[in-house]
Amino acid sequence: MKPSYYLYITSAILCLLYLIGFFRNGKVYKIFTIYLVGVLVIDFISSKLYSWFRIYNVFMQHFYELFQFVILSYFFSLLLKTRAQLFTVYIILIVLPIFLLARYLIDPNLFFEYNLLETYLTTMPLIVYSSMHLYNNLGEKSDFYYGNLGLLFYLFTSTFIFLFYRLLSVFDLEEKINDLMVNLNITLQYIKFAFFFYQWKLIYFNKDERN
Amino acid sequence: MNAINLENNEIIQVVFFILLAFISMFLVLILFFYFSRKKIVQIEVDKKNLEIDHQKELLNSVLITQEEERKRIAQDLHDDISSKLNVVSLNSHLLKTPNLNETEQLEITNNIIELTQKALENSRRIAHDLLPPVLEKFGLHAGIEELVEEFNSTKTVKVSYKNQIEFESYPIEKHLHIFRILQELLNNSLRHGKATEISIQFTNFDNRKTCTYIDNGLGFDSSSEENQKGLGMKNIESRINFLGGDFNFTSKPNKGVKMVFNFN
Repeated sequence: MKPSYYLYITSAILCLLYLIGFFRNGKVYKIFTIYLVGVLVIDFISSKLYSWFRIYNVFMQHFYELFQFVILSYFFSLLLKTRAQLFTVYIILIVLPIFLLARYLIDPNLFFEYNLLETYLTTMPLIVYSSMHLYNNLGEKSDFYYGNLGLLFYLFTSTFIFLFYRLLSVFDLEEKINDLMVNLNITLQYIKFAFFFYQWKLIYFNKDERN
Repeated sequence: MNAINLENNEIIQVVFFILLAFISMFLVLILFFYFSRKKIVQIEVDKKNLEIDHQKELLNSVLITQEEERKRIAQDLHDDISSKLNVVSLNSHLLKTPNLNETEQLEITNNIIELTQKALENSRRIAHDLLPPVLEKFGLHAGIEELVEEFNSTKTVKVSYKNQIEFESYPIEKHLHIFRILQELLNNSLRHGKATEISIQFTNFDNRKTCTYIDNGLGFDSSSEENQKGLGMKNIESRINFLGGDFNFTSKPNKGVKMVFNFN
């Protein structure tokens, strides 16, 4: 079996674990669970897309980024506290999708190639929200602390990996280093999952942590 | 030529976004550290303010206790001594009246002797209540023994006392603090807790002197805020502060009271 299959299995187990407490927990937990399941489904479909429909997964990349942006923006809007922060989240949540949609309507071909601006614009706000949440809870108990750390870590690193991969592919070097990049990405995902597992454990075994 | 241009464009685009990502992430990092530092300093300031408020409250309770103690002493002096001396003075004036026969004179002098004796006794009792002489003469151990004996003699409560600490080498001014803490605890157990059994134990473990106080009284919910604000408890706390120790107080309704404090 390829290493990526183990990753899918791990991700599926994580989703199942989070689904166990789905109805017992609050909104934040539910949104997070939907995010995990959504990412698993999109990842799986995009890996199968070529063998099923002969479509490259560039297409799914857009879905993945938009889905991640919208659902995590909502997730952070539930966690953040001050009015200024919430205002920022809502404004970006409305303006950014409209902007991206307008771009695709003007030039539909953009939808079928990698789009760095989209990657940048959809992940950067999430990194900022995640940092805001860390900042808000300095020195006190934080909701979804480890989940947030995992997200921040993965958003940070995966963005660079993606950009780096694009750089190499421009020089036609991606064939040589492809395996390394894929393995690095899988390792990073495992680290992210470790954070999510720990967060799940905290919530499942401790009533105070329920969100 | 066009193809090369296109490729160049792509390279520039990718490099631009990598740079942009680097710069924005560093910006996020720097802003995070900047604001975090500010917030941490604020948290520290808040903590210190809270501590200062607590100290002020303790000081305030010390002042209130002092005033109450003065009031009590004034009342004791007025009721037990001044009133008696008043009668003595009246009687002495009576002695001056002419044509007193011997029996009358004897009666008056007996009255005076009796009253002065009572006043003397009362003044001794007041002085003893303020500061038991045994504490000064024979040290804390004897002082506590006497205190325990006094409580035991009331027959309503059985107090047991065990001590492993040599108090002789302990600074004399600290004896009084420990004595007062125990006095307060015993009074509380009897007055509010209606306790019938009390145990006081001093242990010396790892050069850490510890006193454990347990009663079987009514107890109360020690986790509720309201119950921690009593004047007596605050006094105990400030005395333990003076002793350079800390304390742990636990109590539950109908489960009695347990107080453990240590001192240097």
